[in-house]
Amino acid sequence: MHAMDALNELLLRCGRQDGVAFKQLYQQSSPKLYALCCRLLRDEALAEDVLQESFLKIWHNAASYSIDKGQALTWMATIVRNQALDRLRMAKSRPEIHPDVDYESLDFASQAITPDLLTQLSSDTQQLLECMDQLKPEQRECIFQAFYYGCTHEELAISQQRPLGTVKAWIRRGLEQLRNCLA
Amino acid sequence: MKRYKNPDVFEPLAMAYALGTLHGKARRRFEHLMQQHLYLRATTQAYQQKVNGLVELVPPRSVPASVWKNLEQELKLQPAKLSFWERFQAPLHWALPSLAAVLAVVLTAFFLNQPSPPQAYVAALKSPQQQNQLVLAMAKHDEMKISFEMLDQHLETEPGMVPTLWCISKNKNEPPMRMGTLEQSKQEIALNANLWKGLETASEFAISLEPSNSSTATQPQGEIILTGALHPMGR
Repeated sequence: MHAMDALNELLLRCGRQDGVAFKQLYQQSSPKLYALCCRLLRDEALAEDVLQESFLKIWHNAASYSIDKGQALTWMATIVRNQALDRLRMAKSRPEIHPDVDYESLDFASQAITPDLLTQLSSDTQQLLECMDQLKPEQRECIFQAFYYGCTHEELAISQQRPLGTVKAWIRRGLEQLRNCLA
Repeated sequence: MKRYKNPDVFEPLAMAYALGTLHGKARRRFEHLMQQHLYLRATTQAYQQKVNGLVELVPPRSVPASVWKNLEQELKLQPAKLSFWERFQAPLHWALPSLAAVLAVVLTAFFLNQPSPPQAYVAALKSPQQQNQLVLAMAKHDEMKISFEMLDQHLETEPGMVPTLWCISKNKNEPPMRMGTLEQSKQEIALNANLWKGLETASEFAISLEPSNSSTATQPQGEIILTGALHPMGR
């Protein structure tokens, strides 16, 4: 069974209040979701809190999940990202990006997608990556930074050393292109 | 508000929301609108489904053990409630084939002379090739369904082939009755009155692998992979 299908099955079982399935689901998915929390929040203690809150939500809402809602990992990532972005909004400030910290790199998303990796990805993600490949490097970089690190337009303007208006235009055009490609 | 009904306006917003590029007041305003309008929620969810797959690329990071400990305490997680079959199976993995035989004999002897109609049927389906593969099937009248428990976790199937359950009549001149197909996600088959009636004259269950597009076939076309005698219970 494909790893993604196994996660779908576990999440469906969680919807039936199966604690054993929940533990397996946690073991198999939490390392990626925690890594996402760390990137978005830039604070490990906060990331642990958000991961914990997210899994509580996942458990309580699992009964509403069905296969037609997409891959379980994607469904869970939506919960985790919303939870993390809510937390960021509540925080008055957050640590700045430190490029020397290992999890701050975007190499994992920029590297060439090997056939082996491609077969492990869901078809939605494969299509998205193909569409992302058609963007200009700076557009892709900004969108990845926003997705993985929750960067604001202002933060992107600083990191890209470009005027705010330029960065906003990159993102707007990038999203338009993505929208047409994904349609 | 009218401008938010224009797809050229709300789709990029939904996408920006999903990707996380919508910030501050604009994000809050969009969330407020989403609460009011189903089409905005649906569009945003569709984009979230597409873009949140990016999480698949993130290198995993080991999670401190305290997170799971806290979750376990908070949720007071219990081991999964064992079904009848799971309780039944647990101590039996060591001797499945002999168990199936004993089960058949005991059930037959016990219920042989009971007067009222059976309320349930049970069958232990074995593979002629793989002696350690055993599927327990139980049909219950009060639930009008057949539940399956795979002691080997899953049935191996070829792509495009579906495990299909057949009810074999005691009367050899009668054709097998197609009962339904087994799905990995839902290991049960719903019964109607006609199918239940078919069980009364059945001698055994058989599972064959059928092409997924042959749902109207009235006879098994593919290989029979499991068979087992059907025993009435709870008369």
